[in-house]
Amino acid sequence: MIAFQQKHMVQLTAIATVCCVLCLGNQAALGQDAVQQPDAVAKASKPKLAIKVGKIITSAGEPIVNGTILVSNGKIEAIGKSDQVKIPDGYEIIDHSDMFAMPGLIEAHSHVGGSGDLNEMVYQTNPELRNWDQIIPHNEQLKVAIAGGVTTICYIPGSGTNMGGWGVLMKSGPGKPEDVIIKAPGVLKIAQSGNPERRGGEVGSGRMGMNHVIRQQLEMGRIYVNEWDRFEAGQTDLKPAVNLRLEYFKPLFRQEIPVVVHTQAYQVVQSTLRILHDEMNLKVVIDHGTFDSYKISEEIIKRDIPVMAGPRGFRYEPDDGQIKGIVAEYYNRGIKSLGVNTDAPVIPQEELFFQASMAVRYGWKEEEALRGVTIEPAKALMIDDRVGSLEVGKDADIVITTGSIIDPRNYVTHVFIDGKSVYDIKTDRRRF
Amino acid sequence: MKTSKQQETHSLTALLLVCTSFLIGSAAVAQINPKTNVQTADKAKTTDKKKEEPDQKTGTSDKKTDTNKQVTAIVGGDIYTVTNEVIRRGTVLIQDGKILNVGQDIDVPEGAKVIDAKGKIITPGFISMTTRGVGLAGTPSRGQKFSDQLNPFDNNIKISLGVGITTACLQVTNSSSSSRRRAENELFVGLDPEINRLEKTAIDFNIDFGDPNTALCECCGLPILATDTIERPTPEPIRPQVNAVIKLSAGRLDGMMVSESVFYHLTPGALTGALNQHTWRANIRKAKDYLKALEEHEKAKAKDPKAKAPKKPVSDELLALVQKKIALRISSDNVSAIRDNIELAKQQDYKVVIDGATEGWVVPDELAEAGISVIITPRRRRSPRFALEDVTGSNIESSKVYESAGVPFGIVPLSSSISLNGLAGRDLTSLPLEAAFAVRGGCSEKTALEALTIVPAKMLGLQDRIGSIETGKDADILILNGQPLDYRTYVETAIVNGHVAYERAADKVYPVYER
Amino acid sequence: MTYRKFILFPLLICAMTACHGLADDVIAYRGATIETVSKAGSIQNGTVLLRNGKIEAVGSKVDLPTDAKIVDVSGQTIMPALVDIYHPITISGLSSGSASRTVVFNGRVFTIPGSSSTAAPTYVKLSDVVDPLSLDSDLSKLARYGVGFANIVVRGYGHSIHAKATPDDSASSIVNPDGTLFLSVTNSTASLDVLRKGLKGSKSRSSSASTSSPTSSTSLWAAVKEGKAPLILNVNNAATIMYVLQIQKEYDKVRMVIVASGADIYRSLDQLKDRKLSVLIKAGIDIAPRSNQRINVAKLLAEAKIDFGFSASLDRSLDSMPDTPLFPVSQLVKTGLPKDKALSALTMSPAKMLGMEKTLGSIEVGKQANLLFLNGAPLDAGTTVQQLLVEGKSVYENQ
Repeated sequence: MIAFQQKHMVQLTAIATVCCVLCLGNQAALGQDAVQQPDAVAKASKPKLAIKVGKIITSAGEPIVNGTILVSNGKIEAIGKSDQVKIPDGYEIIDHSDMFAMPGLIEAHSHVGGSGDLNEMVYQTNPELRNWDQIIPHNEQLKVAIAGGVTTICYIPGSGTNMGGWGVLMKSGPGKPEDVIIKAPGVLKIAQSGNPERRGGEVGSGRMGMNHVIRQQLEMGRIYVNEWDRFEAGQTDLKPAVNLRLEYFKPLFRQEIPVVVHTQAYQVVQSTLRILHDEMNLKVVIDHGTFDSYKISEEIIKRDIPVMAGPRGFRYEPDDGQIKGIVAEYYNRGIKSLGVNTDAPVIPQEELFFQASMAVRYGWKEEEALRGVTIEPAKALMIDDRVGSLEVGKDADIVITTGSIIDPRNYVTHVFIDGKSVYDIKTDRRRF
Repeated sequence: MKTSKQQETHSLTALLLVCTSFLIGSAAVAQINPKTNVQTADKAKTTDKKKEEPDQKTGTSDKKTDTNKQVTAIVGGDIYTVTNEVIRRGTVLIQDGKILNVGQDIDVPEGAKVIDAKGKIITPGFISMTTRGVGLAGTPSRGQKFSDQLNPFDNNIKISLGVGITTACLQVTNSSSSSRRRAENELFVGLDPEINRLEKTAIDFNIDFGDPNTALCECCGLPILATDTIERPTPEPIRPQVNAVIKLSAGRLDGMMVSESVFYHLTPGALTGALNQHTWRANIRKAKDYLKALEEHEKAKAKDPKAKAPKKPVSDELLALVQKKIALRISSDNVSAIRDNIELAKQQDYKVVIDGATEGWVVPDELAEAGISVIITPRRRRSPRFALEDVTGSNIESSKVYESAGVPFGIVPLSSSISLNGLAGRDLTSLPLEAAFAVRGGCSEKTALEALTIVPAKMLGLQDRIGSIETGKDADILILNGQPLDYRTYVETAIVNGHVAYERAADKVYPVYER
Repeated sequence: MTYRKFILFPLLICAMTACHGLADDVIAYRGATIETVSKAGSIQNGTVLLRNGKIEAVGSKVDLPTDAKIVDVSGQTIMPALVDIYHPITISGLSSGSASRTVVFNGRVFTIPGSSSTAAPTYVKLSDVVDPLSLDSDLSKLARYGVGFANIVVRGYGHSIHAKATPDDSASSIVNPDGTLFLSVTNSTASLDVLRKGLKGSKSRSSSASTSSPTSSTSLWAAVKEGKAPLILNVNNAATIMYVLQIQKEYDKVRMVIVASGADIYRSLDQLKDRKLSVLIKAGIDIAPRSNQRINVAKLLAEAKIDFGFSASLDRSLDSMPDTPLFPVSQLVKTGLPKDKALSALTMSPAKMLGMEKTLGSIEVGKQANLLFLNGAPLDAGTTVQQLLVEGKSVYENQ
C-alpha cells in the first residue's frame, strides 16, 4: 500500500508541480506565483562534471570506494566505481581522490532561510500565512550552512501560534527565489504545545483549547478540499469559491506535503498521533520530539511516522539520574525514519552534522546518522525524489569532505548544488 | 468474655489495618529499586577497598607509611604523555597521589592494585579554564572563603569527569553585591529586569544560557549563540575577578583546593580608554616602586632593625603580576583591543593570557612576539565587520594560525557550566569536542591535546603538578575508550590525585553502550 | 466512631488506671509482648513492674508485690518510649534566613532554597529564652508520636534543653536546662569558623552579641573538646560533612552527633566510617538527590557499621502521622534494615548519643519508666500508639 502510494506519488510529482503552477495561476490576481520552471535558463549554465572521490556515501545502499559521479544538467547522470563509470568527452574532471563525497545535508527545521520575522500572530491558527515571500537566498547564515554541508532546508514559520503558516523547501545556494525553491508550499507548521501557551488569557492558551482550534481549522480545510475534489472529479458543477485562507490545504489533505509538528513530550506527541494522523489523516513529521517523547515510540512505529529530533539532543532522566540521548532512545526502540534538526538559529544551521555527532555520542550509530541528515529528512519532507541521496536522476547536491562528516574533525571542502559549485575552500575563505 | 471478644475484633481490625498498610507499603516498596540499594552498597564496597589506599594525610605517621605505600598500576594502555612521546602499551605507577613512574618496561611491584587498560588510551586529565558551578556548594560571596565553599559531592563533578575534566579554574566575582548585580544585568541586554533576575536564578541552578553574548530565542526560550560583529569594548571599572583552581576529586575534600589566586583577571573593558589605561599604568608603577622600596628596606633592616617598612599600596595579586608570578588574564576579542593589550604587556612587562581572542588570528605574530598565550573557542562564529571580511570576525582556522605562529593556546567550550537543558555539545562537557573543532580548523591533534592539558597548566603556573604524565606529577589520569579527540570517546575511568574518582560503568552519568 | 470507641474500651480502663496511679504506686503491666531493646530482647507474655516512675522488674516471670496494681495489657506491645535528640523549635525574633520559594520561568519550575545567612550564627542558650509553657504544643505532638524524651534546640547555634514529654505539665517538662551544645553548620566560612574557633578554645566572636554569657559557651566547648559531652551538629549536606570531618581530625576526643537533614549524607558513608561520631537521620525512605531513585539511608548506615539514630522531628511526619510513628520505620525494615537496628535507632542509640543510656532508651531495671504501648508488633505497618508513659505517668492515651 505504502509502496504503491510512494510510486504513485513519484509519478505524480512532476504533474503535481505543474498542477501547482496551474493552481497558482488561478490566483494570478495575487501576482505571487512563486513556483516557476526556471530550468530552461538555469540548465544552460550548469556544467558537465565528473567528480572522482575516494569514497562515496550515497545514502542509497553501501558506500562506493573509489567512485565517480557524473553530473549534467544539474542532475546526477551516473554514479559508480571509477573503473565502471566511463567519463564521456566534454566533462570537467574534478579529482578529489583523497576525499569523501556525500549527498547535501537536509535540514528539517530551520528559520534562517530569509527574514527572521516568522511569528506573526494574526489569529490562533494562521493558514493564510506563507513564508516563501521572505526568502533571502544564500544569506550570510546559509553561506556558513553550506560550509557545514547543508544544501536543503525546510524553512518554516515559528511556533508562536498553533498554526504558524506554510513553510517552503529550498536550497541553500545562490540564485533567485524561484531557483532555490524546491516546493512551495512545502510543509504546514503546527505547534501543539509549549510555545503558543505563553500567550496570556485567550482561548487556546491551554492544550485543550489549542487542540480544539487546530482541529477546527483543519476540519474547515478538509471540507474545502473535499468540495474542490468533488468539483474537479466532475461530481458537481458548483465551482467552489477560492478561499486563500484554505487554498494550501489542498496539497496537505491530498497527502502531497506533510505537516511538520512542533510536538514534544509524551503527552503532546500522543495527541499529535491521534489528532493529526488518526483523525485528520495527514502526512505527519514529528519535529522536535524531545523530552520523554521517545517513550511513545511503539505508537509512532505503528503509524510509520518519521521523527526529526532536535534541537535538544539529550534528556536528563530523573528516574535514574542519567543522561539519555534522545535519538538513541528512539533508535533503540525501533524507529527507523529518524533524523536530527537544528531549529536554526537555536543551533547554528551549519551544525546540523554536529547534532548527528552528538546523537551518535549518546548512543546512535554513525551509519544511521549519515542517513539521518540526508535521505531520512528527504523522505519525511517528501522530496526524496529530488534530494537526499546520490542516485541517478536526482539533483546534483554533492558535498565533498575530508572524511565522515559526522566527525567534527573532518570538514567540507567543496559543495555543489544542482551541479554548480557553490563553495570551494581553494577560492573562498573557509567558513566552517 | 465480652472483653476477649472485643479484643478479637480489635485485633481483627488491626490485622485489616496491617493488611491494607502492607498493601500500600508493598506498593511503595515495589518502587524501591533493590538494585539501587545493592548498587550503592557495592559502590560503598569498592570504595571501601580504595579506602585502604592513601588518604588521611594527617593521620598518624606509622599508619601513613602503611597505607600510602600502596601502588596503583595502570597497565597496557597507549599512554599519551603530552610532554613526551606516546608510549604504546605502557604502564603508569601511582603512589601517594603522584605518578611514581611511567614507561614501557616497568615492573609492577608486588601487591600493587592493577588497572587493566589494554586497548585503551591513557591521557592526563583535562583542564577547564573557564568554569562556573562545578564543585561548589553555593555561590561564593563576600566574606566567604572560597576554600569553605567546596562540594566534592556536587553532581556536576561526575558529569565533568565523564568527559575528562579533572582540574577546573573557576571564576569568582569578588566585588560588592550591588556592582555585581549591575554586571549581571549587563549580561543580558535587552531583556527586562525580571527576566534578568530569573536568568540569574537559572544560572545558579546550572541551567545554562551559554556565554554572556547569548540571546534567548523569543519563540522557544532556548539560548541562541551570538553571531554579530565584535566591537571594541566600552570602558569598565578595573575590578579584578578571583580565579581559583580546584581538582574534581569526587567525594574527597582533601586535595580538592589547589590555589585560590592564579590570575589577575580583568573584564574586556577594564583596560579600554585613556583613563583606565592611565590608572592601570599608575598602579603598576606603584607596585614596582613598592617592590623596590621593599628591597631597600630589607637592606636597611640589616643595619637598623627598627627601619620602617614601606606601606603596601596595591593588592597582593597585582604585586604577583608585576613579579611575573601570575599572569594577567583579560577577555579580549576585538582585534584593536587585542593590539592594545599586546602593547601594554610589552610596555609594562607582565605575562598575559588573552581570553576569547576571537580576532586574534589577525595578529598571530604580534602575539607570539609578546609571548602572549590565548584561550580560544574554535567553534565560536562571529561575523566580520562590513568590508573588513579578511581581518575581522571569527576564523575556524585560528587554531592552525596560532599553531604555526607559535602562539600557545588553550581551549574552552562555548559555555562554562554544565547544562541539563538538553542542547547537546555546547556546555562545559563539550570541552574535548571543542578541541576536535580545533583539529577541524587545521591544527595537529597533538597541539589540540596540549590545549586541554599542558598549555593551560602553564597558564595557571601549575605545570609542575598537572598537564602531563610524568614522574612526580599529580596522578590525574584518564583512561579513554578511544582516541582523545574522537567525538565518540568517553572516559572509562578518571583518576584524580591518585584516586579513582569516576568510572563510567558504575557512575552511569552518560549512556553506556557498545561502540 | 462508636464502634471504634467500643473496641478501645478496655484500653480506656488501663489508661485510666495509669492516669490515676500516683508516683508512689506500684504498677505491673502484664501479658504484653515486651521489646526491651536490651540484651533481654523480646519477651512474650511478659510483665513490667514500675515503682516510683522507675522500672523495678521486667521479664516473663516477675514476682509481683502485694501492693502492686495489676493491669492486663495482653495483645499489646510495650517498648521503650522514643528518644528524639533533635527537636528544633522556633522562637520569634531568633529565626534567621529566608524560606525557600518557587518561581516559574519559561514554563519551568525552579525552587530557590532559602538563603542561609552568611553571618555567623548567634549563640543562644535556649533555657534563657524559652517559656516552658509555650512548649505545650510541641510536647503534645511529641507525646502523640511516642516520644518520651526530647532534646530541644533552636535553629542555629546554642545550648539545648532536655525535656520530657509532659504536655499537661509543661512547666515542669524541662528536666535539664543545661542541655547539650548544638550548631548548624553550612558551607559558609562564618558557620565553619564557629566550629573551628569553638574547638580551638578561643572565645567565639559571635557570642558577644548574644543574650548569654560567653563563659557558658566556652565551658561547653571545653567539655566537648575533652569528650565529656557530645557536640550535636546539624549538617544539611555531604559537602559540609567533609568539612566537619576535616576539622574533627585534629581533636581526637571530640564525639559528634551529625544531624543529617538532607538525604545526600549517603554519599559520604566511606568517610564516616571509623570516626568518633553518630548520625541522626529521619526515619523513612529517601529520594536520592537529582533523581527519582529511592534509597534506604538507614540500611546503608547499618551496613557501613555507622552508629545512627532516628529523629522524629526531621521530617513532617510529626505533624502528619501522629499515633503511627513506626510506619516509616517499618518501610525501612521491609527494605532491608534489620529490626533490632530499627528499634534501637528509635530509642537506645539516641539515648547513648546524648550520654543518657543509663536512664533512657530501653526497658531495663532501674531505668525511667518511659514506656510506649502499641496495639501490635512495633514494625507492623498498621500498629498505632495506644499509650505513652513518661516516668510512670500516662501522658498520652489514644482514644
